[in-house]
Amino acid sequence: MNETNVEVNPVPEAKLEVRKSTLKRIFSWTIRNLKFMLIPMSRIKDLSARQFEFEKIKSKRNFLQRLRSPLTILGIGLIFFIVTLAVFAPWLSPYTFKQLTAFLSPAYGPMSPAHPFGTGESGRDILGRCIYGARSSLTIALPAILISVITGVIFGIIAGYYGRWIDTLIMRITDVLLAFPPLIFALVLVGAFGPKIEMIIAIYGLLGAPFYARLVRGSVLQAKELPYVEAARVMGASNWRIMFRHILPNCISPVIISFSFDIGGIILGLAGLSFLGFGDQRLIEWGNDINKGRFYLYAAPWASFFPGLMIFITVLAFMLVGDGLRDAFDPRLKNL
Amino acid sequence: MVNKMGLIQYIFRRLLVLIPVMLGVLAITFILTRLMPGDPVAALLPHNPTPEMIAAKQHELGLDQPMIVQFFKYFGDLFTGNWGVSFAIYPNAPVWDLIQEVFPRTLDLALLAVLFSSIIGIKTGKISAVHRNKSQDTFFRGSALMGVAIPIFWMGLILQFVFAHIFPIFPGSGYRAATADDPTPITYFRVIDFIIYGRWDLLWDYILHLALPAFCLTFITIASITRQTRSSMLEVLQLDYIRTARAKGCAENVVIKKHALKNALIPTITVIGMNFAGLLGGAVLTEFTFNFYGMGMLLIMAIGQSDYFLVSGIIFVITILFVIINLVVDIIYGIVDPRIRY
Amino acid sequence: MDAAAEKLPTDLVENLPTDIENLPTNIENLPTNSKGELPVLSVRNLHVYYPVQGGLFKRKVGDVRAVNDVSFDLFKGETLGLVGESGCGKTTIAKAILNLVRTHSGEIYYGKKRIDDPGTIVIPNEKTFKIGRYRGYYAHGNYIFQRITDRFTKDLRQKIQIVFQDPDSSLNPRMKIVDIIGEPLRILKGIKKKSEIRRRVLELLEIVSLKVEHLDRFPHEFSGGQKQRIVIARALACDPEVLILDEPTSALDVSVQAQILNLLIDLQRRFNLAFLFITHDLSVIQHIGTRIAVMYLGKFAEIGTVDDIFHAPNHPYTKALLSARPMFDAELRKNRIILEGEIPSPQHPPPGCAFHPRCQEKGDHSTCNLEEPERIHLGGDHYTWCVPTGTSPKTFKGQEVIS
Repeated sequence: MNETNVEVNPVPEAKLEVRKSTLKRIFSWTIRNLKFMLIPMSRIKDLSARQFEFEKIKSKRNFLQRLRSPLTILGIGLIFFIVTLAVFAPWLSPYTFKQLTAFLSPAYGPMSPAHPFGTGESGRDILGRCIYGARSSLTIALPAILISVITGVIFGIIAGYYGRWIDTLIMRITDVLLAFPPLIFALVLVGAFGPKIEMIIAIYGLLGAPFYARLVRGSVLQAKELPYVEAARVMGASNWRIMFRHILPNCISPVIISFSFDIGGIILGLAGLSFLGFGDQRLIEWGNDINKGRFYLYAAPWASFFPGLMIFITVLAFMLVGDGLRDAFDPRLKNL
Repeated sequence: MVNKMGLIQYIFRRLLVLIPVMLGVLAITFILTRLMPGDPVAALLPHNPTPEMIAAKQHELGLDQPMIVQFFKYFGDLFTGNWGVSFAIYPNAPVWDLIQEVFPRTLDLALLAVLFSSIIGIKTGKISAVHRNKSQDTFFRGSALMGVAIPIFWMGLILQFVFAHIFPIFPGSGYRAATADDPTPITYFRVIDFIIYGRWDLLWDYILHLALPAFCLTFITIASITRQTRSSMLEVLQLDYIRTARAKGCAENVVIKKHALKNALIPTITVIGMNFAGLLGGAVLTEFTFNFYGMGMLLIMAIGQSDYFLVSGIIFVITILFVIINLVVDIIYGIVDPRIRY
Repeated sequence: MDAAAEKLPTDLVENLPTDIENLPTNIENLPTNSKGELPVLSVRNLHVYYPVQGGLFKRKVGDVRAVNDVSFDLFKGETLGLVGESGCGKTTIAKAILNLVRTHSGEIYYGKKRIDDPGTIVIPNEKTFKIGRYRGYYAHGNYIFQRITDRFTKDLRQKIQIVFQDPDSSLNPRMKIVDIIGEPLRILKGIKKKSEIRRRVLELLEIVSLKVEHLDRFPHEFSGGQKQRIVIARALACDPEVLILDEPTSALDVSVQAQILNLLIDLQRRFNLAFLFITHDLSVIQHIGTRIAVMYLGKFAEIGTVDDIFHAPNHPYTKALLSARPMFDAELRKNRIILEGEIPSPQHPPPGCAFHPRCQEKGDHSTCNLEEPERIHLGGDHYTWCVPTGTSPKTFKGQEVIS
C-alpha cells in the first residue's frame, strides 16, 4: 500500500510543480507587461503617468534608503512614541487630566505600583503628567514652528528676490530681532503680555521667523542668479510665479532640515521658559513640573528627573531626525 | 595692502549699520518693558501716598511726559549712564550699580565655559575628523548631539543631586558660602578682589561654587564647537594642498596641526564668539538652576516683579554686548582669513 | 541724461493714444533683404551700461560700457552670427533685446514696434524724466507710450525667444519636462487645459526628436544634448519668429554639437526662423551662419556675409580671430597672428579705436588712438569699423586655406 502510494504520487506532484512554475512565469510576465498589452498608444497619458509613478517611487526609495541609518530610525521611533503619547494621552495615562491637576496627598510620594514614577506637587502622578506633557509640548511647538517657517520663508524670498531697500529693511528687522537672546526675548514678552498659551505660540513663532528669513534669503540670492530664473522670465513668468514656483522649491531643503532641528529647539526653549516659571500654569508641562520639583530635589528626585528625561528624549528625537534628513537631502554633506 | 583699506571701510560700514539695529533694539525694549504691568510710583512711595506725592514722584521719574518724550529721554539716559532705579526688587537702588555688581559673576561663568569648551571642543573635533567614522568619532558625535538636546537645567539638577547631595563635593547652589564675609568690592570681579585682599579661602570657595554651573555651560557649548571644528576640518582635509603636503612627505601630525587645523579653525572662531555672546545673556537657566546670583538671575527676578527700569537696563547690556561681540568676531574673521574681501 | 525728474505732464498722460499697435514710428529707410522683406528685428545705436559700485556706501562710481553703439538688422530666415571674445557684450545684446537689462540709449524694434526698455524718457519739449518714477510710460516721437514691460510683454515674449548656453542650469531641476515646456504655453498663450498642454508639449518634443516617455521626467535624467533639445523645444513653444541662440553648443560634447546644429538648421528651414547666433566659435558660425558680426569690447568691428568675413576679412581683429582657429597644417600655423596684451577693461576703454593697443596693423595707421573709427561700407552687406589706410584690401598668408 505504502509503496504504491509512493510510486503514484511523485509524478503528478512533479508535473504540477513544473506547471506551477511555468504558470507563475507567464503570470508574472503578464503582470509586468500588462500596461503594454492593455494600453494602446492612444492612451499615452496613462502610460507616462504610470512610468512617472514608478520613477517617483524609485527615487523615493532612494531617499528612504538614505534615511535608514540606525540613529535616524531611533529618532523616528522616538518621535512616533512621543506623538503617540500626545495623541492618546487620555487613554494611556493612568489618571485623568482632572486627577492630574487636582490637589491630592501625599505630595512628593515615592515610586509605587500606583505611581510608577512617584508623585509630585500636591500628590499628582508624575507618569500621567509626563504623558500629558507631550501633548502640551507638541501643541505649542508645532503651530509655533509653522508660523516661523511660513513668515520666515515669505519674507526671506521677498528680501532675496527683490533686493535693494526691501532687502535692507527686512534684514535690519531680522538683525534687531536676532540681537536679543531668544530666551530673554521670550521672557520679556511673556512678562509684558502674560503667560497665555496663544501668547507663547505667537512668541516662539516670531522668534524663529528671522532665522528662517535669513536662511531662505541666502539660498534665494544664489538661486536667483541661475539661468533658469532668467529663462522663466523670458517665458513670461510673473515675479510671484518665479519666486514661489521656480526659486522656492530649489531653496526649501535647508528649511526642511532646520525645521526638524527647530522643533527640538522650541520644545527645549519652551521647557526652559516654564522651568523659570513663565509657562502657562493651566497646562501640564514638563518644565513646569521640574520648576516645582526642584525644591524637593534631594527628597524626591523623581519629581524632576522624569519630566526632564521626557524633554531630553523628545528633543533628541527631533535632532536625530534632523541629522538624518540633512544627510539624506545632501549626501555630499554626510559625515561633515 | 588694498585689503587693509577695505577692512577699515568694512568696519566703518558695519558700525553704521549698527546704529539702526541698536535703535530698533532699544525701541523694542522700551515698548516691551513699558507694557509690563509694574507700577514704579506705587512701589517707591510709602503706603497710602497723597496725590501730591504721586505727582511729584511721577515727575521725578519722568512718567508724566508723553511716551515719545519718555523714549528719547530713556535713549539719552542710557548713554549717559543714568539708567534709572530699581523699584520692585531693591527699591531706589540705581540700576547701574546693581548690574555692576552681578555682571562680573556672569562674565566669570561665561569666560570659564568658553575657555574650557574651546580647548576641549577643538580637540574632540579634530580627533573626530581625523578618525572619521571610527569609534572615537561616533562617541564624540553622539556626545555632541546629547549636548545639543539635553535641557541644561535638567542636567544641572542631576549634577546637583549627584555632586552636592550623594557625594557632597561641591556646593549645590549660590555663589558663595552663607558664612563668607566678603570684603568691600574694589573691581567687582571677585577673583581679582580676593587676590588683592589675599583671601585665598574665599577664592577657593568661589571656584567651588563656579564649578558645577561652569561645567553645565561648558558641556552644552562643547557640542557646537566640536561639530563646527569637525565639519570644517573634514572640508579642509579634502583640499588639494593637504594632499600636496602629504605627498611631499610631511608627517601626518604636522599635516594636521600645521596645515589643516589652522585653516579649519577660522569658522570655529565665529562659533566660539557667538557662543560667548550667547552665554553672557543665555546663562539665565543655569544661574536659576544653581541659584547663582548673576545677571540672568537678576533679570528673571526683575521680569517676575515687572521691575522695568531694571529689565531694560539688563537687556541693554546683553544686546549691546551681543552685537559688539558679533562685530568683533566678524572683523577677526576678516583679518585671519586672507581670502575675504569686502 | 538723468536730469532732474519732474512731474510727467498730465495732459500728455491723459492724451494717451488708444491704438498703440499702429502708432507711427520714426524709423525710416529700413533696409530690405534680397526678397524685399523688411527686417524682423532692428537694433539702432544700442548702448547698455552696467553701473559699477564702490566706495563706502556702495555708490555708483562709474559705468561698464557693455554695449556701445551697436546697430544691426535681422531678417526672416537668416542667421546673424555674433562673434567675439567672452565679455565683449554679445550676451548683453541678447538680454537687452529680451528686456532682461535696461538699455541706456538706443532703440530696438520688432518689425516697426519699439520694444526696448529705456532708462529715461524724453518728452517732446526736450525734457528728460527718469523712467522709474513714471513706471509704465515712455515717450516716442510725439507720443507717450505705455512701456513694453506692461503692455507688449506677452506678445513679444512669444515672438522673441532664447536658448541659453548651459542647458544644465537653464532648466529648473524641480520641474517636470511637461511643466517646463508647458510654462510658456500656460502663461503666454493662456492655455489652461492640462490635456491640451500635454498634447502641445508632446508635439514639441517630437519636433526636437524626443519621445513620449520623456514627458514626465525631471531634467537631471537627461544627457546634455537632450537637455538642450528640451530648451529648444521650450523656446519654440509659442511659435517665435526670432530665436536668440546664446552659445547653444559650447557646453556640449563635440559629437552632440553637430546634432544640435543640424537640428537648428532644420528648424530654421521649417519655421522660417530668424536666428541671432551668439558664439565664440568661428567654425560653428561658418556652418550655420548667413551673416556675421564681429564684436570687440562692446562695439562692432566688422559685419558682413559669411563669405565676406571668411574670404575677405578687412578688420585686423577679424583677421586675428580667423588666424587663431585650429589648423592642421604646421606651415600655416607659423603665420598666425598672435595678439599682444590683455583685453582692456570695458570700464576704461582705450581712446580712439578700442582695439588699437593690441592691433597688429596699428603701425600702418597714425590716428587709431585719437579718433573713433567710422563705419566704412566695403560693398554689399560688408561694413567695417576701422580707420582707413588707403591701401588695397589686406590679405594674410594662409587665408585661402581658411576660406
